[in-house]
Amino acid sequence: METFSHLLYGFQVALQPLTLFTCFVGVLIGTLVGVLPGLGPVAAISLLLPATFHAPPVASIIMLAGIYYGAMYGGSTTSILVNLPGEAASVVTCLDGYQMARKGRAGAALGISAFGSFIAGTLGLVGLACLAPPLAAMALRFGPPEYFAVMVLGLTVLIFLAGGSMIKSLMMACFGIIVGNVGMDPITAQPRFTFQMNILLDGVGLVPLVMGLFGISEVLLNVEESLTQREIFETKLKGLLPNLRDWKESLWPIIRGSVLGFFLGILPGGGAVISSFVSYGIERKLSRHPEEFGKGAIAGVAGPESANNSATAGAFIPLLTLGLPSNAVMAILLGALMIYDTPPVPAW
Amino acid sequence: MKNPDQYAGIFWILLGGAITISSFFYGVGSFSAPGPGFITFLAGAILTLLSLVLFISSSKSKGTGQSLRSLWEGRQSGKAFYILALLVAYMFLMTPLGFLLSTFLLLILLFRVQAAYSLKKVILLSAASTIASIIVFDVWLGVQLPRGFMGYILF
Repeated sequence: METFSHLLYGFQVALQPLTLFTCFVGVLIGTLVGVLPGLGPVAAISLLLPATFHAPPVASIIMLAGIYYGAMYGGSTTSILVNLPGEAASVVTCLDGYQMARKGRAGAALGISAFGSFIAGTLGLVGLACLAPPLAAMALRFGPPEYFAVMVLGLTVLIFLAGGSMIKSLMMACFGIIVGNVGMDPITAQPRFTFQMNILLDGVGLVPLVMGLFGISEVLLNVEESLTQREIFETKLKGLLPNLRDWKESLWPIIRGSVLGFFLGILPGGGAVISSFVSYGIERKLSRHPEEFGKGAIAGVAGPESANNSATAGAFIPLLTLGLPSNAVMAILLGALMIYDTPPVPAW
Repeated sequence: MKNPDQYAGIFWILLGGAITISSFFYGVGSFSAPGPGFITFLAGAILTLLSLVLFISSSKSKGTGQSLRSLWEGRQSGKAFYILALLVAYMFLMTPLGFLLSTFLLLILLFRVQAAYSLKKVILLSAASTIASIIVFDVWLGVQLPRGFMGYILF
Protein backbone atom coordinates (compact mmCIF):
# COMPACT_ATOMS: atom_id res chain seq x y z
CA MET A 1 0.00 0.00 0.00
CA GLU A 2 2.88 2.31 0.86
CA THR A 3 4.43 1.60 -2.53
CA PHE A 4 1.17 2.58 -4.17
CA SER A 5 0.99 5.88 -2.30
CA HIS A 6 4.61 6.64 -3.15
CA LEU A 7 3.85 5.87 -6.79
CA LEU A 8 0.88 8.22 -6.74
CA TYR A 9 3.04 10.96 -5.23
CA GLY A 10 5.62 10.30 -7.90
CA PHE A 11 3.01 10.64 -10.62
CA GLN A 12 1.79 13.85 -8.98
CA VAL A 13 5.27 15.33 -9.30
CA ALA A 14 6.12 13.84 -12.68
CA LEU A 15 2.91 14.90 -14.40
CA GLN A 16 3.35 18.59 -13.70
CA PRO A 17 3.63 20.67 -16.90
CA LEU A 18 7.22 21.81 -16.28
CA THR A 19 8.33 18.27 -15.52
CA LEU A 20 6.60 16.90 -18.61
CA PHE A 21 8.20 19.60 -20.71
CA THR A 22 11.70 18.89 -19.40
CA CYS A 23 11.06 15.18 -19.95
CA PHE A 24 10.12 15.92 -23.55
CA VAL A 25 13.21 18.09 -24.01
CA GLY A 26 15.42 15.42 -22.48
CA VAL A 27 14.02 12.63 -24.64
CA LEU A 28 14.24 14.81 -27.75
CA ILE A 29 17.86 15.69 -27.06
CA GLY A 30 18.59 12.08 -26.22
CA THR A 31 17.06 10.85 -29.47
CA LEU A 32 19.07 13.38 -31.45
CA VAL A 33 22.19 12.37 -29.58
CA GLY A 34 21.46 8.73 -30.22
CA VAL A 35 21.01 9.37 -33.92
CA LEU A 36 24.37 11.08 -34.17
CA PRO A 37 27.06 8.42 -34.33
CA GLY A 38 29.89 9.11 -31.96
CA LEU A 39 28.05 11.42 -29.58
CA GLY A 40 26.64 9.16 -26.90
CA PRO A 41 24.39 9.76 -23.91
CA VAL A 42 27.47 9.90 -21.69
CA ALA A 43 28.88 12.89 -23.52
CA ALA A 44 25.48 14.56 -23.84
CA ILE A 45 24.58 14.18 -20.16
CA SER A 46 28.01 15.26 -18.97
CA LEU A 47 27.94 18.34 -21.20
CA LEU A 48 24.37 19.28 -20.27
CA LEU A 49 24.84 18.66 -16.56
CA PRO A 50 26.05 22.17 -15.71
CA ALA A 51 22.99 23.60 -17.45
CA THR A 52 20.78 21.96 -14.84
CA PHE A 53 22.48 23.37 -11.76
CA HIS A 54 20.00 26.19 -11.31
CA ALA A 55 16.96 24.26 -12.45
CA PRO A 56 14.64 22.34 -10.09
CA PRO A 57 16.26 19.04 -9.12
CA VAL A 58 13.31 16.84 -10.12
CA ALA A 59 13.02 18.37 -13.58
CA SER A 60 16.79 18.17 -14.03
CA ILE A 61 17.00 14.50 -13.10
CA ILE A 62 14.06 13.67 -15.35
CA MET A 63 15.68 15.53 -18.24
CA LEU A 64 19.00 13.74 -17.77
CA ALA A 65 17.26 10.36 -17.49
CA GLY A 66 15.21 11.26 -20.58
CA ILE A 67 18.43 11.84 -22.50
CA TYR A 68 19.53 8.31 -21.61
CA TYR A 69 16.23 6.75 -22.66
CA GLY A 70 16.06 8.77 -25.86
CA ALA A 71 19.61 7.88 -26.83
CA MET A 72 18.90 4.16 -26.48
CA TYR A 73 16.05 4.50 -29.01
CA GLY A 74 17.72 7.07 -31.26
CA GLY A 75 20.66 4.83 -32.03
CA SER A 76 18.44 2.53 -34.06
CA THR A 77 17.59 5.21 -36.65
CA THR A 78 21.00 5.40 -38.27
CA SER A 79 21.50 1.67 -37.72
CA ILE A 80 18.49 0.96 -39.87
CA LEU A 81 18.87 3.68 -42.48
CA VAL A 82 22.63 4.07 -42.85
CA ASN A 83 24.01 0.84 -41.39
CA LEU A 84 25.94 3.02 -38.96
CA PRO A 85 25.07 2.39 -35.30
CA GLY A 86 24.36 5.57 -33.43
CA GLU A 87 25.06 3.83 -30.16
CA ALA A 88 27.01 0.78 -29.09
CA ALA A 89 23.72 -0.77 -28.01
CA SER A 90 22.36 -0.43 -31.56
CA VAL A 91 25.16 -2.31 -33.29
CA VAL A 92 23.08 -5.47 -33.48
CA THR A 93 20.17 -3.58 -35.01
CA CYS A 94 22.34 -2.94 -38.07
CA LEU A 95 22.40 -6.63 -38.91
CA ASP A 96 18.71 -6.97 -39.71
CA GLY A 97 17.47 -3.39 -39.62
CA TYR A 98 19.55 -2.24 -42.57
CA GLN A 99 18.60 -5.34 -44.54
CA MET A 100 14.95 -4.55 -43.93
CA ALA A 101 15.58 -1.03 -45.20
CA ARG A 102 17.21 -2.40 -48.33
CA LYS A 103 14.05 -4.40 -48.95
CA GLY A 104 11.96 -1.26 -48.70
CA ARG A 105 10.77 -2.01 -45.17
CA ALA A 106 12.63 0.75 -43.36
CA GLY A 107 9.34 2.10 -42.06
CA ALA A 108 8.39 -1.18 -40.41
CA ALA A 109 11.85 -1.50 -38.89
CA LEU A 110 11.77 2.02 -37.49
CA GLY A 111 8.22 1.54 -36.28
CA ILE A 112 8.82 -1.73 -34.47
CA SER A 113 11.99 -0.29 -32.98
CA ALA A 114 10.00 2.62 -31.57
CA PHE A 115 7.15 0.49 -30.26
CA GLY A 116 9.48 -2.12 -28.85
CA SER A 117 11.53 0.53 -27.09
CA PHE A 118 8.40 2.07 -25.62
CA ILE A 119 6.94 -1.23 -24.39
CA ALA A 120 10.24 -2.42 -22.98
CA GLY A 121 10.96 0.89 -21.28
CA THR A 122 7.53 0.86 -19.67
CA LEU A 123 7.86 -2.73 -18.48
CA GLY A 124 11.30 -1.93 -17.15
CA LEU A 125 9.93 0.99 -15.18
CA VAL A 126 7.26 -1.25 -13.66
CA GLY A 127 9.99 -3.65 -12.61
CA LEU A 128 12.01 -0.77 -11.18
CA ALA A 129 9.05 0.44 -9.13
CA CYS A 130 8.33 -3.05 -7.78
CA LEU A 131 11.88 -4.15 -6.99
CA ALA A 132 13.40 -0.89 -5.83
CA PRO A 133 11.58 -0.62 -2.43
CA PRO A 134 12.70 -4.01 -1.06
CA LEU A 135 16.24 -3.29 -2.17
CA ALA A 136 16.08 0.18 -0.66
CA ALA A 137 14.92 -1.22 2.70
CA MET A 138 17.93 -3.49 2.68
CA ALA A 139 20.22 -0.55 1.91
CA LEU A 140 19.07 1.29 5.04
CA ARG A 141 20.51 -1.48 7.21
CA PHE A 142 23.98 -0.99 5.80
CA GLY A 143 26.75 -0.34 8.32
CA PRO A 144 30.52 0.10 7.97
CA PRO A 145 31.19 -3.61 7.28
CA GLU A 146 28.53 -3.62 4.55
CA TYR A 147 29.90 -0.45 2.98
CA PHE A 148 33.37 -1.94 2.94
CA ALA A 149 31.91 -5.03 1.29
CA VAL A 150 30.21 -2.79 -1.30
CA MET A 151 33.57 -1.11 -1.98
CA VAL A 152 35.21 -4.49 -2.46
CA LEU A 153 32.27 -5.53 -4.67
CA GLY A 154 32.72 -2.41 -6.77
CA LEU A 155 36.40 -3.08 -7.27
CA THR A 156 35.75 -6.77 -7.93
CA VAL A 157 33.15 -5.95 -10.59
CA LEU A 158 35.57 -3.48 -12.13
CA ILE A 159 38.20 -6.19 -12.43
CA PHE A 160 35.62 -8.70 -13.71
CA LEU A 161 34.65 -6.34 -16.48
CA ALA A 162 38.22 -5.69 -17.47
CA GLY A 163 38.73 -6.49 -21.07
CA GLY A 164 42.22 -7.28 -22.19
CA SER A 165 44.99 -7.02 -19.65
CA MET A 166 44.10 -7.77 -16.04
CA ILE A 167 47.28 -6.12 -14.84
CA LYS A 168 46.39 -2.84 -16.51
CA SER A 169 42.90 -2.97 -15.01
CA LEU A 170 44.30 -3.50 -11.52
CA MET A 171 46.74 -0.65 -12.08
CA MET A 172 43.90 1.67 -13.06
CA ALA A 173 41.90 0.55 -10.03
CA CYS A 174 44.85 1.50 -7.80
CA PHE A 175 45.23 4.81 -9.59
CA GLY A 176 41.54 5.49 -9.14
CA ILE A 177 41.83 4.87 -5.41
CA ILE A 178 44.75 7.29 -5.27
CA VAL A 179 42.87 9.98 -7.20
CA GLY A 180 39.89 9.43 -4.91
CA ASN A 181 42.07 10.22 -1.91
CA VAL A 182 43.18 13.60 -3.19
CA GLY A 183 42.00 16.29 -0.80
CA MET A 184 41.81 16.63 2.94
CA ASP A 185 42.06 13.57 5.12
CA PRO A 186 38.68 13.28 6.91
CA ILE A 187 40.27 12.44 10.28
CA THR A 188 43.43 14.55 10.52
CA ALA A 189 42.40 17.23 7.95
CA GLN A 190 45.84 17.00 6.38
CA PRO A 191 45.86 17.88 2.68
CA ARG A 192 46.93 14.97 0.46
CA PHE A 193 48.29 15.56 -3.04
CA THR A 194 46.67 18.97 -3.31
CA PHE A 195 49.93 20.63 -4.43
CA GLN A 196 48.86 23.66 -2.40
CA MET A 197 45.89 24.29 -4.64
CA ASN A 198 42.81 25.26 -2.67
CA ILE A 199 40.55 23.92 -5.38
CA LEU A 200 41.79 20.39 -4.64
CA LEU A 201 41.09 20.53 -0.92
CA ASP A 202 37.65 19.06 -1.54
CA GLY A 203 39.12 16.41 -3.77
CA VAL A 204 38.96 15.98 -7.52
CA GLY A 205 35.55 17.18 -8.63
CA LEU A 206 33.34 14.47 -10.08
CA VAL A 207 31.75 16.70 -12.71
CA PRO A 208 35.02 17.96 -14.31
CA LEU A 209 36.44 14.44 -14.13
CA VAL A 210 33.42 12.88 -15.83
CA MET A 211 33.14 15.65 -18.42
CA GLY A 212 36.82 15.37 -19.25
CA LEU A 213 36.97 11.58 -19.29
CA PHE A 214 33.78 10.97 -21.25
CA GLY A 215 32.65 14.19 -22.88
CA ILE A 216 35.85 15.77 -24.13
CA SER A 217 37.59 12.48 -24.83
CA GLU A 218 34.75 11.28 -27.06
CA VAL A 219 34.91 14.51 -29.05
CA LEU A 220 38.68 14.15 -29.42
CA LEU A 221 38.36 10.51 -30.50
CA ASN A 222 35.90 11.50 -33.21
CA VAL A 223 38.16 14.27 -34.42
CA GLU A 224 41.05 11.85 -34.70
CA GLU A 225 39.18 9.52 -37.01
CA SER A 226 38.82 10.72 -40.56
CA LEU A 227 35.32 10.96 -41.89
CA THR A 228 34.49 7.95 -44.04
CA GLN A 229 31.96 7.84 -46.76
CA ARG A 230 28.86 5.90 -45.86
CA GLU A 231 26.25 4.73 -48.27
CA ILE A 232 22.94 6.31 -47.42
CA PHE A 233 20.30 3.97 -48.71
CA GLU A 234 17.62 6.01 -50.38
CA THR A 235 14.12 4.68 -50.11
CA LYS A 236 10.67 5.91 -49.31
CA LEU A 237 9.60 5.63 -45.72
CA LYS A 238 6.21 4.21 -46.40
CA GLY A 239 4.18 2.40 -43.80
CA LEU A 240 5.81 3.41 -40.53
CA LEU A 241 3.31 1.31 -38.64
CA PRO A 242 4.11 -2.40 -38.48
CA ASN A 243 1.42 -4.65 -39.91
CA LEU A 244 -0.23 -7.54 -38.14
CA ARG A 245 2.32 -10.06 -39.29
CA ASP A 246 5.16 -7.84 -38.00
CA TRP A 247 3.46 -7.64 -34.62
CA LYS A 248 2.97 -11.39 -34.54
CA GLU A 249 6.65 -11.96 -35.20
CA SER A 250 7.80 -9.24 -32.81
CA LEU A 251 5.56 -9.63 -29.78
CA TRP A 252 7.45 -12.40 -27.98
CA PRO A 253 10.88 -11.00 -28.90
CA ILE A 254 9.79 -7.70 -27.34
CA ILE A 255 8.63 -9.42 -24.15
CA ARG A 256 11.72 -11.60 -23.92
CA GLY A 257 13.97 -8.66 -24.69
CA SER A 258 12.28 -6.58 -22.00
CA VAL A 259 12.81 -9.18 -19.28
CA LEU A 260 16.32 -10.04 -20.38
CA GLY A 261 17.40 -6.42 -20.73
CA PHE A 262 15.97 -5.48 -17.35
CA PHE A 263 17.90 -8.11 -15.41
CA LEU A 264 21.09 -7.67 -17.40
CA GLY A 265 20.81 -3.93 -16.91
CA ILE A 266 20.99 -4.41 -13.15
CA LEU A 267 24.43 -5.96 -13.48
CA PRO A 268 27.16 -3.34 -13.28
CA GLY A 269 28.84 -2.94 -16.64
CA GLY A 270 26.35 -5.22 -18.40
CA GLY A 271 23.67 -2.86 -19.44
CA ALA A 272 22.31 -2.13 -22.83
CA VAL A 273 25.12 -3.38 -25.04
CA ILE A 274 25.36 -6.89 -23.65
CA SER A 275 21.59 -7.23 -23.37
CA SER A 276 21.11 -6.35 -27.05
CA PHE A 277 23.65 -8.93 -28.14
CA VAL A 278 22.25 -11.62 -25.85
CA SER A 279 18.73 -10.86 -27.01
CA TYR A 280 19.74 -11.21 -30.65
CA GLY A 281 21.39 -14.54 -29.89
CA ILE A 282 18.32 -15.81 -28.05
CA GLU A 283 15.90 -14.72 -30.74
CA ARG A 284 18.00 -16.38 -33.38
CA LYS A 285 18.11 -19.55 -31.32
CA LEU A 286 14.36 -19.59 -30.66
CA SER A 287 13.25 -18.52 -34.10
CA ARG A 288 11.51 -21.01 -36.40
CA HIS A 289 13.40 -19.47 -39.30
CA PRO A 290 16.90 -18.70 -38.00
CA GLU A 291 18.19 -18.57 -41.57
CA GLU A 292 16.32 -15.27 -42.00
CA PHE A 293 18.44 -13.56 -39.37
CA GLY A 294 20.96 -11.27 -40.99
CA LYS A 295 18.70 -10.90 -44.03
CA GLY A 296 15.96 -8.74 -42.60
CA ALA A 297 14.20 -10.63 -39.79
CA ILE A 298 12.07 -8.21 -37.81
CA ALA A 299 12.64 -10.18 -34.62
CA GLY A 300 16.31 -9.27 -34.97
CA VAL A 301 15.30 -5.64 -34.60
CA ALA A 302 12.49 -5.97 -32.06
CA GLY A 303 14.34 -8.07 -29.49
CA PRO A 304 17.62 -6.14 -29.23
CA GLU A 305 15.94 -2.74 -29.32
CA SER A 306 13.58 -3.80 -26.53
CA ALA A 307 16.44 -5.23 -24.53
CA ASN A 308 18.58 -2.11 -24.68
CA ASN A 309 15.71 0.11 -23.59
CA SER A 310 14.68 -2.19 -20.77
CA ALA A 311 18.28 -2.27 -19.60
CA THR A 312 18.14 1.46 -18.97
CA ALA A 313 15.46 0.90 -16.32
CA GLY A 314 17.38 -1.97 -14.78
CA ALA A 315 20.52 0.14 -14.61
CA PHE A 316 18.76 2.52 -12.23
CA ILE A 317 18.21 -0.14 -9.56
CA PRO A 318 21.77 -0.40 -8.18
CA LEU A 319 22.09 3.39 -8.43
CA LEU A 320 18.90 4.30 -6.61
CA THR A 321 19.00 1.57 -3.99
CA LEU A 322 22.67 1.01 -3.25
CA GLY A 323 24.28 4.11 -4.71
CA LEU A 324 26.32 1.93 -7.07
CA PRO A 325 26.42 3.21 -10.65
CA SER A 326 26.27 0.28 -13.05
CA ASN A 327 27.65 2.17 -16.05
CA ALA A 328 29.13 5.50 -17.05
CA VAL A 329 25.73 7.18 -17.48
CA MET A 330 24.68 6.13 -14.01
CA ALA A 331 27.96 7.45 -12.65
CA ILE A 332 27.18 10.87 -14.09
CA LEU A 333 23.63 10.69 -12.77
CA LEU A 334 25.01 9.81 -9.35
CA GLY A 335 27.14 12.92 -9.53
CA ALA A 336 24.06 14.90 -10.54
CA LEU A 337 22.04 13.51 -7.64
CA MET A 338 24.78 14.47 -5.21
CA ILE A 339 25.02 17.96 -6.70
CA TYR A 340 21.27 18.38 -6.24
CA ASP A 341 21.68 17.27 -2.62
CA THR A 342 19.50 14.20 -3.21
CA PRO A 343 21.95 11.34 -2.68
CA PRO A 344 20.48 7.92 -3.46
CA VAL A 345 21.85 6.40 -0.26
CA PRO A 346 20.73 8.05 3.00
CA ALA A 347 24.15 7.69 4.67
CA TRP A 348 25.70 9.83 1.91
CA MET B 1 62.12 -0.90 -26.39
CA LYS B 2 59.69 -2.06 -29.03
CA ASN B 3 56.59 -2.69 -26.98
CA PRO B 4 54.53 0.39 -26.07
CA ASP B 5 53.67 -1.28 -22.76
CA GLN B 6 57.30 -0.94 -21.74
CA TYR B 7 57.02 2.84 -21.91
CA ALA B 8 53.76 2.69 -19.98
CA GLY B 9 55.37 0.45 -17.38
CA ILE B 10 58.23 2.87 -16.80
CA PHE B 11 55.83 5.79 -16.50
CA TRP B 12 53.65 4.05 -13.93
CA ILE B 13 56.65 2.75 -11.98
CA LEU B 14 57.91 6.30 -11.59
CA LEU B 15 54.49 7.70 -10.75
CA GLY B 16 53.61 4.89 -8.36
CA GLY B 17 56.97 5.20 -6.66
CA ALA B 18 56.54 8.95 -6.22
CA ILE B 19 53.07 8.46 -4.75
CA THR B 20 54.32 5.76 -2.38
CA ILE B 21 57.20 7.89 -1.11
CA SER B 22 55.01 10.97 -0.71
CA SER B 23 52.43 8.95 1.19
CA PHE B 24 55.15 7.72 3.54
CA PHE B 25 55.93 11.32 4.46
CA TYR B 26 52.22 12.02 5.08
CA GLY B 27 52.31 9.33 7.74
CA VAL B 28 51.20 5.76 7.20
CA GLY B 29 50.19 4.94 10.78
CA SER B 30 49.09 1.41 11.58
CA PHE B 31 46.16 -0.88 10.77
CA SER B 32 44.43 0.09 13.99
CA ALA B 33 45.25 3.81 13.65
CA PRO B 34 45.74 4.56 9.95
CA GLY B 35 47.48 7.83 9.09
CA PRO B 36 46.64 10.21 6.23
CA GLY B 37 48.92 8.36 3.84
CA PHE B 38 47.75 4.84 4.68
CA ILE B 39 45.51 4.10 1.70
CA THR B 40 47.63 5.99 -0.82
CA PHE B 41 50.80 4.27 0.44
CA LEU B 42 49.26 0.83 -0.09
CA ALA B 43 47.66 1.76 -3.41
CA GLY B 44 50.88 3.39 -4.61
CA ALA B 45 52.95 0.37 -3.61
CA ILE B 46 50.59 -2.01 -5.39
CA LEU B 47 50.58 0.26 -8.43
CA THR B 48 54.38 0.28 -8.51
CA LEU B 49 54.56 -3.51 -8.18
CA LEU B 50 52.00 -4.04 -10.93
CA SER B 51 53.80 -1.57 -13.16
CA LEU B 52 57.00 -3.55 -12.64
CA VAL B 53 55.15 -6.74 -13.57
CA LEU B 54 53.79 -5.01 -16.68
CA PHE B 55 57.24 -3.80 -17.68
CA ILE B 56 58.83 -7.20 -17.17
CA SER B 57 56.05 -9.12 -18.94
CA SER B 58 56.05 -6.70 -21.88
CA SER B 59 59.84 -6.91 -22.13
CA LYS B 60 59.71 -10.70 -22.22
CA SER B 61 56.80 -11.01 -24.65
CA LYS B 62 57.40 -11.12 -28.38
CA GLY B 63 55.02 -8.24 -28.72
CA THR B 64 51.93 -7.77 -30.82
CA GLY B 65 53.88 -6.13 -33.60
CA GLN B 66 52.66 -2.76 -32.43
CA SER B 67 55.26 -0.11 -31.95
CA LEU B 68 54.74 3.19 -30.18
CA ARG B 69 54.44 4.91 -33.55
CA SER B 70 51.86 2.42 -34.84
CA LEU B 71 49.46 3.47 -32.07
CA TRP B 72 49.18 6.86 -33.75
CA GLU B 73 49.06 5.67 -37.36
CA GLY B 74 45.98 6.40 -39.37
CA ARG B 75 44.75 8.93 -36.86
CA GLN B 76 44.59 12.66 -37.21
CA SER B 77 46.18 13.15 -33.82
CA GLY B 78 47.41 16.62 -34.71
CA LYS B 79 43.82 17.84 -34.68
CA ALA B 80 43.19 16.31 -31.28
CA PHE B 81 46.27 17.98 -29.79
CA TYR B 82 45.29 21.24 -31.46
CA ILE B 83 41.85 21.08 -29.85
CA LEU B 84 43.41 20.28 -26.47
CA ALA B 85 45.71 23.27 -26.83
CA LEU B 86 42.72 25.44 -27.73
CA LEU B 87 40.83 24.28 -24.63
CA VAL B 88 43.81 24.97 -22.36
CA ALA B 89 44.23 28.42 -23.89
CA TYR B 90 40.48 28.99 -23.47
CA MET B 91 40.80 28.10 -19.80
CA PHE B 92 43.53 30.67 -19.23
CA LEU B 93 42.04 33.39 -21.39
CA MET B 94 38.44 33.21 -20.20
CA THR B 95 39.00 35.40 -17.15
CA PRO B 96 40.94 38.26 -18.81
CA LEU B 97 38.98 38.23 -22.08
CA GLY B 98 35.61 37.36 -20.65
CA PHE B 99 33.24 34.53 -21.54
CA LEU B 100 31.77 36.29 -24.58
CA LEU B 101 34.95 36.97 -26.51
CA SER B 102 36.86 33.85 -25.49
CA THR B 103 33.97 31.52 -26.32
CA PHE B 104 33.33 33.24 -29.65
CA LEU B 105 36.97 32.88 -30.66
CA LEU B 106 37.15 29.29 -29.41
CA LEU B 107 34.09 28.25 -31.38
CA ILE B 108 35.40 29.81 -34.57
CA LEU B 109 38.67 27.92 -34.23
CA LEU B 110 36.91 24.67 -33.31
CA PHE B 111 34.51 24.86 -36.25
CA ARG B 112 37.43 25.38 -38.58
CA VAL B 113 39.14 22.20 -37.40
CA GLN B 114 37.08 19.97 -39.66
CA ALA B 115 36.68 22.77 -42.23
CA ALA B 116 33.18 21.59 -43.00
CA TYR B 117 31.64 25.07 -43.16
CA SER B 118 32.49 28.30 -44.91
CA LEU B 119 34.03 31.12 -42.86
CA LYS B 120 30.84 33.17 -43.02
CA LYS B 121 28.78 30.26 -41.70
CA VAL B 122 31.35 29.58 -38.98
CA ILE B 123 31.23 33.15 -37.72
CA LEU B 124 27.44 33.10 -37.77
CA LEU B 125 27.22 29.79 -35.92
CA SER B 126 29.82 30.84 -33.37
CA ALA B 127 28.05 34.11 -32.67
CA ALA B 128 24.69 32.38 -32.37
CA SER B 129 26.07 29.69 -30.03
CA THR B 130 27.83 32.22 -27.83
CA ILE B 131 24.82 34.46 -27.54
CA ALA B 132 22.55 31.48 -26.85
CA SER B 133 24.95 30.30 -24.13
CA ILE B 134 24.94 33.72 -22.49
CA ILE B 135 21.17 33.89 -22.59
CA VAL B 136 20.78 30.40 -21.14
CA PHE B 137 23.55 30.47 -18.53
CA ASP B 138 23.96 34.14 -17.60
CA VAL B 139 20.50 35.56 -18.04
CA TRP B 140 18.25 32.57 -17.41
CA LEU B 141 20.24 30.43 -14.98
CA GLY B 142 22.06 33.30 -13.27
CA VAL B 143 25.51 31.75 -13.56
CA GLN B 144 28.17 34.41 -12.98
CA LEU B 145 30.24 34.18 -16.12
CA PRO B 146 33.55 36.07 -16.30
CA ARG B 147 33.02 39.52 -17.79
CA GLY B 148 36.59 40.28 -18.72
CA PHE B 149 37.66 43.66 -19.99
CA MET B 150 34.53 43.92 -22.11
CA GLY B 151 32.26 43.70 -19.11
CA TYR B 152 31.65 47.41 -18.81
CA ILE B 153 30.55 47.51 -22.46
CA LEU B 154 28.14 44.66 -22.61
CA PHE B 155 26.83 43.97 -19.12
